Amino acid sequence: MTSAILDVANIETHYGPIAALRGISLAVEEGKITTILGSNGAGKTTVLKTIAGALDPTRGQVRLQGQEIQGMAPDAIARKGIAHVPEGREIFPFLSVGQNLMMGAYARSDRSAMAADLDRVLSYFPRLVELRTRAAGTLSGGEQQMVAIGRALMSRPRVLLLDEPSLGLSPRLVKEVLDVIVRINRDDKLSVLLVEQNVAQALQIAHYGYVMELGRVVMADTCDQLRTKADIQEFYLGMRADDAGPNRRWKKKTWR
Amino acid sequence: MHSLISVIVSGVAVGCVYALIALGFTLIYKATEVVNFAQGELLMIGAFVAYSFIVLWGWGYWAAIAATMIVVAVIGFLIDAVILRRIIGQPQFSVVMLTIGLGFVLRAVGTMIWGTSSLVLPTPFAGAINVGGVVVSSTTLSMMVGAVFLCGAVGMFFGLTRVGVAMQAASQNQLAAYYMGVPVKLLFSLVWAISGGIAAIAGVLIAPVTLVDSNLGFLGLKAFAAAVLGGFGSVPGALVGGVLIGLLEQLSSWYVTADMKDIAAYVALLAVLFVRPQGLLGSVGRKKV
Repeated sequence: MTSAILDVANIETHYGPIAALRGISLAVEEGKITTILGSNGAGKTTVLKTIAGALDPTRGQVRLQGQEIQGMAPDAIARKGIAHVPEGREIFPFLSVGQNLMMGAYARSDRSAMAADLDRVLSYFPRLVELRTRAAGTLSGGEQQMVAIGRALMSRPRVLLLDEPSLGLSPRLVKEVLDVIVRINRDDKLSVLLVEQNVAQALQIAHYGYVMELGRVVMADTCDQLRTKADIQEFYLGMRADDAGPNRRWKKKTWR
Repeated sequence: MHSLISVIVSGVAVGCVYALIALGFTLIYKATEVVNFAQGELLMIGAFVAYSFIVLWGWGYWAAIAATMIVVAVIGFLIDAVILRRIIGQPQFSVVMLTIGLGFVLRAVGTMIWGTSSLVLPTPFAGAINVGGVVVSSTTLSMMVGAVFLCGAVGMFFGLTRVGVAMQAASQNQLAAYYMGVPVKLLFSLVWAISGGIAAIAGVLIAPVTLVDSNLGFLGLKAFAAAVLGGFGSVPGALVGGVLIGLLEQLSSWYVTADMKDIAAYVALLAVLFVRPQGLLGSVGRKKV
């Protein structure tokens, strides 16, 4: 794991007395998309929030390029180069789309590069061009998600944390948003940590995956490998080698 | 007829100053969700500090205004950064009590330093100007021009500058602002500084009309009524509410009795709140979690 840009080691995070993370270790390789899978309540969002500094771990380290960042304020962590696209988008509803995007670049001062990045973000999400002056709160869910991702990209992050970017989007928009993530990763070699409910899609675009259950990592492998594992297929992809066909139907009826 | 117009003009002028104080309330409330009941006392300190600069130390009027603004802005900044930051997250009730307590402390400090007698703040505004047959005193004019100028400057700051937009962003979604790398706590303290600066100017502007003493702080309550009247948390509402209250005060003392002046603000507030509980320009349920 020498090429890990972000390294999470044994973090434990509590909500009051409740342990949400019970010793999570994971690594985000430079230039790769890493995904965290798991059912509701597994602690995926908590991992991202802990990395972003919104929650402080009671134990363990978070290292960005070898430097420990756990326990720092979220704004300081953001300035270190971790951009967090939180669950539920969390845009600034009364600011215009353009202002929202520029807020992502708040910590930067290189004006010409910022303008270039704005053009690039708008090229990823061409729909936002005509919406630039609209208040972001009036946009549709998918457009708001584009604003949230674009805003994060405006900070020129070293690591992009994405929390369920496909939540509440139509299948076509999901594909559109995930395609952009793939493009950004490929073109800019941006390291991404993706939390996604849509396991099939996540496994398709990510390089490496962790499976979480009840605050622990229970499986970690390349996504190519994960796709072939029986557990994953059964629990997350809805496939089951031996349950198809009349055999299963018959079995289901036996207890009647 | 002309006397009615001049009553209206002076009402609007005083209302402009109320609007400034109400603007201070609103800015702090929008940014930090704290109702700062010491806003009137910041105004009082502003008037006292300006008196010290001009009368005791012989500064020029304009230099004194600038210095006063900076002094009170620093006081506002420190109140937030040193005192209020510690109890943010505690029940709203304790925060309110703290700001009320701060008001008392500031009033006591004002009395200790500057005494209890009313002081006269000299201004360069003398004489009167004849505007279309209506005689408007320079003092009245200074209140209106000063308020409009300051509101414009504040509006431009929040709408156009990077820090101003970031303050709006932090008030709309604090956590997301943190995620953008915005130093939210520092910005909140800066909002307090801005509100303090506005209160200081309001104090200097209204001093020629009211004299300077420790009771000046009670203007804060009238301005609070103005902010609620306009719809608490709405900037245009604060400005409209301020001007309306100033106007109502003067008109009621003109048409009814002079004693009506001090209760007119609250009567109007009650009447409006019966009909529109959210205030004139307030909106319902706009706050997002």
